[in-house]
Amino acid sequence: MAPEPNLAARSPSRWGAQEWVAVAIFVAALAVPYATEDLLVHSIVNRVLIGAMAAFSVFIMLRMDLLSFATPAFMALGGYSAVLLAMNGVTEVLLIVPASFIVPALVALPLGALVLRLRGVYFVLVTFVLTEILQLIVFLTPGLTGGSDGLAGFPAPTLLGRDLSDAQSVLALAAAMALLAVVITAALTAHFRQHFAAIEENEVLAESLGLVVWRYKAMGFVVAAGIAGMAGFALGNMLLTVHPTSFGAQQAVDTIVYTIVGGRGSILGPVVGASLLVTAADFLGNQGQYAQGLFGLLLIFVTLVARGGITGAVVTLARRLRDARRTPDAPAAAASEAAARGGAGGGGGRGGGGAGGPEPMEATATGAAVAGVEELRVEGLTKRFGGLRVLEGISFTLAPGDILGVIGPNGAGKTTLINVITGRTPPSGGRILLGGHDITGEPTHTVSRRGVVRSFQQTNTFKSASVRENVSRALRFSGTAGAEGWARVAPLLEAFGLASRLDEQSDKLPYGLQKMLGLTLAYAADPKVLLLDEPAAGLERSERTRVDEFVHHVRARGCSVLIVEHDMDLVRRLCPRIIVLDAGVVLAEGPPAEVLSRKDVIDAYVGADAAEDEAA
Amino acid sequence: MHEFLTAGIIGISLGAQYALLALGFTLIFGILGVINFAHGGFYALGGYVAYAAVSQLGLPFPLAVLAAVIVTAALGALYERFLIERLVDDHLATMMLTLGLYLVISTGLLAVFGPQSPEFSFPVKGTLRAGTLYLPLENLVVLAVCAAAIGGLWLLIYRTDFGRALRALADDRKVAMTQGMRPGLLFPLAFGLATGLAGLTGALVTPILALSPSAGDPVLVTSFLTVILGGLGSITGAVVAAIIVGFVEAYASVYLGGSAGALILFVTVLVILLARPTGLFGREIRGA
Amino acid sequence: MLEIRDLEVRYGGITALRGLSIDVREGETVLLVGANGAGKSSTINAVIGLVRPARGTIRLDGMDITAVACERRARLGIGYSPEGRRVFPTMTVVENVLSGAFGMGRRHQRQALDWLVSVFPFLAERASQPAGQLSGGQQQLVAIARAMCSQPRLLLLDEPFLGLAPIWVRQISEAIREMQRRGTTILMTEQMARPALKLATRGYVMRGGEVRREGTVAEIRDSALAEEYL
Repeated sequence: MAPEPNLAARSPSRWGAQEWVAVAIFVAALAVPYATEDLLVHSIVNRVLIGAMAAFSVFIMLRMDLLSFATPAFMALGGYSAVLLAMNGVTEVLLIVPASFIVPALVALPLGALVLRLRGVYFVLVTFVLTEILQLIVFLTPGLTGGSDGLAGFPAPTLLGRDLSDAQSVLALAAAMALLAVVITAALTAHFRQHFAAIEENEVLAESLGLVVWRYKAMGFVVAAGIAGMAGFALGNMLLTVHPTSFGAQQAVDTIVYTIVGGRGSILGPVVGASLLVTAADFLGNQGQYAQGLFGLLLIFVTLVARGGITGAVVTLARRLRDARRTPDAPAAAASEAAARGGAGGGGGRGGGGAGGPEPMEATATGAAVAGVEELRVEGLTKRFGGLRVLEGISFTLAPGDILGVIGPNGAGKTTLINVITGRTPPSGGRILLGGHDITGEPTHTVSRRGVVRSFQQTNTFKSASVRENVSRALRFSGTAGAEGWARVAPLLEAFGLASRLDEQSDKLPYGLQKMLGLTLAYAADPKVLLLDEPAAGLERSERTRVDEFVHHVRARGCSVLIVEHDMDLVRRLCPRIIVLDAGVVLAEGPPAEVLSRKDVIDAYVGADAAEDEAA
Repeated sequence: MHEFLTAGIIGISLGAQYALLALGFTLIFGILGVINFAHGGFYALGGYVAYAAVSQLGLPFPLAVLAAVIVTAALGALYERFLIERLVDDHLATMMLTLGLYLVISTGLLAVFGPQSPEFSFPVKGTLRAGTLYLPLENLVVLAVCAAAIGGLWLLIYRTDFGRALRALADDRKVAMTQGMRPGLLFPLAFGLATGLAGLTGALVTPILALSPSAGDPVLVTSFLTVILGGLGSITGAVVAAIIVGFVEAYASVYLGGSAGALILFVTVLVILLARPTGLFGREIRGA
Repeated sequence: MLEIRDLEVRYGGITALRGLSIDVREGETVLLVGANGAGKSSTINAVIGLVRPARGTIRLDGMDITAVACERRARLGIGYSPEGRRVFPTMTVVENVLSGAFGMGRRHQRQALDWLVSVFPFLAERASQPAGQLSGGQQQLVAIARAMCSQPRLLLLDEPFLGLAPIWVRQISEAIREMQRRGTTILMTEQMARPALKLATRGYVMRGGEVRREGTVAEIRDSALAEEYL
């Protein structure tokens, strides 16, 4: 019944056509020096290769939504390292090319620990400053780097003793390095496609599903630095000098323009951008500065009109053509979608599946071992923001299989409680124990991997990705990928009506389904404890029974559940025990029927009479 | 001792210029959340407009400065209104738009005026003697104009409805709109005000320093430094940081050599950015 | 004075209001009560113009303002104090208050400030302190004073008691009474329905984006309230 075998579709980290085309282009470039002796062609191709390499570095950073102006700094590190090796007698390219990659990568590792915490404009500024600093360091160390004179007249590189100083070899070496760069870039961005896409789109969700975000950011930063370093060496080898002016802000701007104009969404973007723009600049004559105006206009144009750059526009066009050819199918697809939509809205009219409630899910249960038997214990949890007390001495225990409701008026601290338990916000005091093990202060991904996973109040999915891709990421980030993971999620997908819409983009789904997908993602991460933040908020009244189905389903598999919710009917239905939070403290605890009729609880919601009576 | 005092005077005069530049830059970030890469371009453009007004139209220098302010302010306001405004909440897109504009401006200046620095000198010459100190008059004039402009800007931002509205929009755009403040009108005005300040500085300072199509490059870098040091979006911070940068630059060039002084500044700024991204003075215009 | 007819508001896929109709007559204080997600704030947001309704009309003194831009509604005599206070944190107390009368001229601003300071001496005590440093209750008072500064004909108060201690509930109630004495029409929402009901002349109980019942304060009894919330 469950469509497990084809659920996962193709492996998400396989190379696509674009990766293969990019590699093929650089393999072809290897032949250029032997196909023509025209030195003008050599020069252009060489500069395209170097530009593309440098742009790959920017491209990798943009995968993580980080705009880096530090590419020239790493180019300089690579270039100077290689040239200094050559000047000290090491001319073997099998040594100096790796060195030009490794030195900047090694520098990037500790640097990344510092700068990758920054985001947006602050990251841009810091990388801009890095480039300036590196240039100044060169100026201030004439003994080592030649200062403002640069380093020229270094021995030509050799390959196993063979001299590589002739024009053909210079270009061939650049092409070989560029090929290496594209293979590394393709391998990295394809293998971790899901990780980077998730970091770019929704870092918070990725982390809550168990992804160690900083690890992938650091990896991207280090590899980007290494590739820039190779570009720096190739540049020095072409110019026969490494010079600080090659590694300034201008270089950063050019590289960024190549990437953005070519298209940041595809590995072909940097290739296309560098090829077209380097050639165009060449045709504008040797007044290189005039090309800058063209770059500027293109940058403005692309930003306003074609955000995906040239490759993005081509992909969009191709997709449109393909869809146009497929029009015969369209009405059928639309009809089935409309039917599904109607079903989602109607709720009760969902036919057999809905009427049966949780039963169909039970039927498809795979009998996966009941997850651990660890209890979550919260002891004296306190959180203050400045002088503001948000949580004060919260204690409770969530035993395996428990369903605990947490209610309270707005601003009572309910979401903060979830944030603190999942390590998103550090507590000011108190302890959180999972199965007796202290997890207080552990980062979100660790808490998640231990089995404490949350859902979010607002719909939280990877919006631009399909349903299938969303689930696939959740499984991969939580380390539970494979058939077993899909088998765990399949009944839920089936019950929510998501199984038939696996290839739809998640933010195009009806709101109720997006919300259910969010819950499914949390369960996909194989939790022992689920923390649900207002799972019913925004749902139609008729859709809310799906939350019940979900909770019953996960509980039947040994998961304990904490639900923050305002819908008291739902709380009454699901939770044998509830906690009332008011102004950060536990006001009451017990069965809902008892707690919800207490006078102090009602007062917390509707306001005490006493307050006004004092005034009168 | 003489050397020390002279460097101090150069430092404060540099600081005043940097303050004027950094104020424009910080205003745009503080209010719109946009990093204006074209800021240096408006500085260079201001210089060339003033130069053209003097050399082509024969205008007196003060009028030429005024023309520079008007042209740069109008261009800035229009660019905001018609291009940046559409994507104002997308930081990557606005950076691309301003970076693109910078490339276009500097190439345009190159195309029209050529790569050579034109003959453009400050109309006031001579020195003022104060005891044993000789103060170049041109620096004093620049200092006076900059101080007046900074004072005027301060009054505008802190003492008028217009300034209150800009700060309110920076703090909470939606609530500001419910109080009747119109971003569609006020954002272009703020942008134009800021680019006009860059144009003013360019018109005043390039006759003393140098005028070239790429004169904006170092200006952008200095604005970055100053604004990070003072805290992105902070007005007081920008002024204080600009004076610090001015002094460090002046003294370093005398006692350490320019590059070492710059390196110290850059490393300081890097450390500040990493340790406290909001700068020494926090954010004043723009709420977290 | 305010006439809302058949209003429908959607956020993305969520329908927050479904065919809401409400009337507020000159000089009344109308209270919207209901649990979280009932649509109270959406109603206020639609009146001030922060959300565009998908359907329905909003009339102010007979004039259709449904399509009027948010920035222009303040000019029509609508004052607004948002949910969660949202004072301008980096601006001083006085600047916050004055920004409520943006573009009304210095004379009006000075008179309004004098009046507000006489009602709430607290504003003068903290005049030049950044509003972001104030306590929650103080911020709420500043937000209400900001809404009062333009001396609006219609005052919108979204959850003015949210998260406040009783002493502040009393102070804010006093501010609202001051506006009532001046004849201001008020539309307010409040989860803390009991203290709010003491101020109101009439109320609507909302649930699921619809009006569940309408009536005088006496008609909306506490028992009915508890039922709606819990």
